[in-house]
Amino acid sequence: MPIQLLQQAAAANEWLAITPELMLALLALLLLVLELVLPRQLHTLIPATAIVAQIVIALGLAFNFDSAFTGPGTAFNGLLRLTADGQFLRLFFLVCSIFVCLLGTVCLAKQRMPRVEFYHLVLIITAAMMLLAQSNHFVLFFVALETVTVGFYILVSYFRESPLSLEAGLKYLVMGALSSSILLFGIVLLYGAAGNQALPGGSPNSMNFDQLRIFLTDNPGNFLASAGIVLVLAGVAFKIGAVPFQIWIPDVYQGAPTPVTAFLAVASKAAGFAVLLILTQRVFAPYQGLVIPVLSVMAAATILFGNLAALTQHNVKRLIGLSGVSHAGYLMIGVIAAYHEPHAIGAIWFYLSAYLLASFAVFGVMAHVAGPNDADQELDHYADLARDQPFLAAVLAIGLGSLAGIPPLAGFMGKLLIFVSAFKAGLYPLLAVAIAGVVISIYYYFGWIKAAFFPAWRPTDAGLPQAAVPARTPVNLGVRIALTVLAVTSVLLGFYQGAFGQWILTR
Amino acid sequence: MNLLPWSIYLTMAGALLALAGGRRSAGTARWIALLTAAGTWILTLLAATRFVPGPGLQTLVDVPWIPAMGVRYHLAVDGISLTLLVLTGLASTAGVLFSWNIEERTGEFFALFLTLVAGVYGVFLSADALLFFVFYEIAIVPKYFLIAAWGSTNREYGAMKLALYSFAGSAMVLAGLLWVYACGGAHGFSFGQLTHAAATLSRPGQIVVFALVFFGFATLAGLFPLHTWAPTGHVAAPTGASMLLAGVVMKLGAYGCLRVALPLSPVAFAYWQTPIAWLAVTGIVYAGLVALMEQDLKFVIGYSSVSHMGFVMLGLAAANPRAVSGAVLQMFSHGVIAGLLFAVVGRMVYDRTHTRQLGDLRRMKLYRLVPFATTMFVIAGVASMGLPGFSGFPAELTILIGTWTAAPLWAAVATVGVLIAAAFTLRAIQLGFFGSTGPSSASATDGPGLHAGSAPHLSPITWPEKAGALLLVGATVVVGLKPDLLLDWINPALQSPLLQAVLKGGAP
Repeated sequence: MPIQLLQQAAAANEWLAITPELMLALLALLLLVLELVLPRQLHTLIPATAIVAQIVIALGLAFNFDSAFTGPGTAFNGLLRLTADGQFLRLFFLVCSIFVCLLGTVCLAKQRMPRVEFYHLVLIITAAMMLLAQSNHFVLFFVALETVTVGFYILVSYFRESPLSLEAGLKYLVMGALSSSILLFGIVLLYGAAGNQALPGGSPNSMNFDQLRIFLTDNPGNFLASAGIVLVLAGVAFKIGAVPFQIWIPDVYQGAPTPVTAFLAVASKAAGFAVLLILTQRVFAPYQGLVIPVLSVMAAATILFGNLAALTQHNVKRLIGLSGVSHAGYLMIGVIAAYHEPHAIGAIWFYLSAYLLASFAVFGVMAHVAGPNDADQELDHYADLARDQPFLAAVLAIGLGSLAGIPPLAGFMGKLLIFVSAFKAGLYPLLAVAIAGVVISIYYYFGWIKAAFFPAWRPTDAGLPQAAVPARTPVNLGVRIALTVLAVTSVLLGFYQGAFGQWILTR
Repeated sequence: MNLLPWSIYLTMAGALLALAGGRRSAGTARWIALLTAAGTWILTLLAATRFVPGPGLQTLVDVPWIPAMGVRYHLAVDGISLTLLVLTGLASTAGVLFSWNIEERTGEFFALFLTLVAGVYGVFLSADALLFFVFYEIAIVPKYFLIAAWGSTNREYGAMKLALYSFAGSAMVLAGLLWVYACGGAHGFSFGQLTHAAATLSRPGQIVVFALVFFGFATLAGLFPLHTWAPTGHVAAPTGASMLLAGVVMKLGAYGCLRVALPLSPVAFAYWQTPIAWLAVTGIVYAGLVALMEQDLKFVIGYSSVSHMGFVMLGLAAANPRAVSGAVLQMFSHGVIAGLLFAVVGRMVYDRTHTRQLGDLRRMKLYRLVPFATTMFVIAGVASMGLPGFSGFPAELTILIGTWTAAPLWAAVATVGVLIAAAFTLRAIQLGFFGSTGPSSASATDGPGLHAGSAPHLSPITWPEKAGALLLVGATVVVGLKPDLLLDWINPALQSPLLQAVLKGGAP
């Protein structure tokens, strides 16, 4: 962007539009400075600073929810589009980031690792995701996406003394690079097709989503554009872990540090869906005939694969990864339904919120049950959790129940809203698959709850030495409050949606 | 009347208190559970004395719940639900009494037990289909944990099978309800609104939706061939849980069929009526024959449950007021009798002898060792056979008469089921409690290793068992002698416009 444009932006106060992102970036830098300045014994204040500052930013954002934008305006010469959905997602990512930092304090305490860089990277990634959810131009889109991905390369292999963490980092790097290149190739094809000014609607600024949409409207069935759309969707499918681009999930989820797994499972997936909604509903809307079949097949395969593959898992990180794959499938049904039923977008946001609450509750428990070897978290380690730490067991039961969609928890309401939208859109075959998937998922979610509430039943006298269960971390007050909030909100949001429900359903 | 919603809230509160009380001592949790269950039962009885029978649901509470979707927190009662509420209070009180010997994690046991009961109360009180569904799920979830943690034979298998069947059934119900809701204009989930919404669907659409909802509920009611979870689940469950399972949880399915599915679409019901009736009749005969062959006493009772629930489904399928009123009466009657049978076999016999195999039991001649249990089993057995004077008689008779007016052939085949029921019940009484008879009885009883003098010493029957058993026997006798107590509530309820659209033949 030339310097005059930047000056223009400053003159028009456009920087205000990205205040939260700027504040996060400054906060990230501040953390590094604090590490240099503060004496070593005060370093425990750094994560606390990060968390408190983020809560302040989140509150500021929430109070200025409506005033930060006036209508669906754009900023920075069309790079950014300010929408209510974008505001919601900013808050969503901030909340994720707060919980990830909190889990980080629990998990990093068990490792001999530099601490501050972790929080720094989480903040940077969060800022990038917030930009990603508001992008209106392929350049901003790709830069933000790569910032997220590169940050995750480091975070996934953060426990660099653990071979599994390094392996996960490498796998994520290879698969991430592959997906980025596919995505970039798709973008290039679209740019090339839409940049051809001999065609109607062709524009030199064809990376802009609005221009691109005009081109796609004027040129239905352009082969180059179709190929570009499919490749871009494939690139996004990598991020959300939809079949057939889900292969990286189990290994990466297992190897990554637990807070990073949570970050990937919730925030990265939500970012993927934010992008998918922007692309499919706004930009690629004229190519519905192509997008809907592709997404439908992927959604059905994703639900079935995720649930069936999760059935046989004993490592809880792999299990929650694969169950997350199936959740991506349910959400994709919402994306498809959104073509016919605008409420579906609200349903997706509600589902993601319920998923956030439930997932962080479960990951919070996982962080406490895990021993020093973070990748080794087996179902057997949960034996008798209810007797040792009833608080954690209760949180786990509520979290998993919500993920399974047991009424009256929030997860049930999420599924209900998605299914109602899908019925209104007439997606009967997909619904049949989804409902079958929900029933299958009961098996492993209940198995996990059972593992936590009852002693291990495997014969101990069969000659096999009982695997040692790692020592469980006691829950400190801050985390206890956070987990209580997550669990209670999961229950309350199922009973009563209040203003949030109204906003979701009438947005 | 406004006492009734408190049955839900009090039971929920009791569940939490029992959980907390269990930390202190097992006895505290037991007494909290007993007081809650009995108190709630008395509450339903009090409400029943003030109940004025009439057509249609009498609203108790009605406030918006999810306004954007038109879902309301709407609790209401009519004669049918009141009958089942009283049954729930009775069965849960007896269930607590028969769970008195739970020593391990007593607090958690009664917390789950009472949560289940609260869900059941909620289902019977709901007048909004989505609320109904939510309570239905609250009742299903604790079952899994009760069986998986405190169960016996093959508990993990039985618990998971039961959970998967229940969730598959409820997923079908939810799919059907959402389909009707979404395609009918998305106005709301009250039963009347759903019926209007269903009428806007095409005929094939109505047929599919009705099948989803009806067979989804019928899974939990144990309709053949969706019944296979029931015997394994009952056998694996701890006594108190199997009493609830047979006593009230299976009724949830039947109640769902009657309350939600039947009124949904008269057109689709006309299409499915004959298949449902034949499935019910097949279930009656098939489950009876299996019960006749089973060697495990609890399996005998599990299959007899399926057979008796077949009568309920047959009554619903016959769809005239007499048959349906009989079906509701049978729900009550079976809830009491099956509860008693499971209590005798699971608590009084199995916990003492540690076997349920008829082959082992016949050598023990239990009538000499535990005469009280024997008496109770004989009473429950003859009540279950449908002997006059017990509640099973008016119930099955009403169903059969009602069915005869609808289709004599169904009634004729179902009558064969009554004969089979008599056969397997007598066989169970004979082999399980009195040993073998006949000329060779003397040698058979003194078989190798088991002399008459060396009969195992069995601990005496405790007071909670006696109290629980007498409660249930009292209920079956009272209703057997004066079925009008319940029929006077049930029959006016069948005059509601929603049910009248489906039921043919006017007043009973």
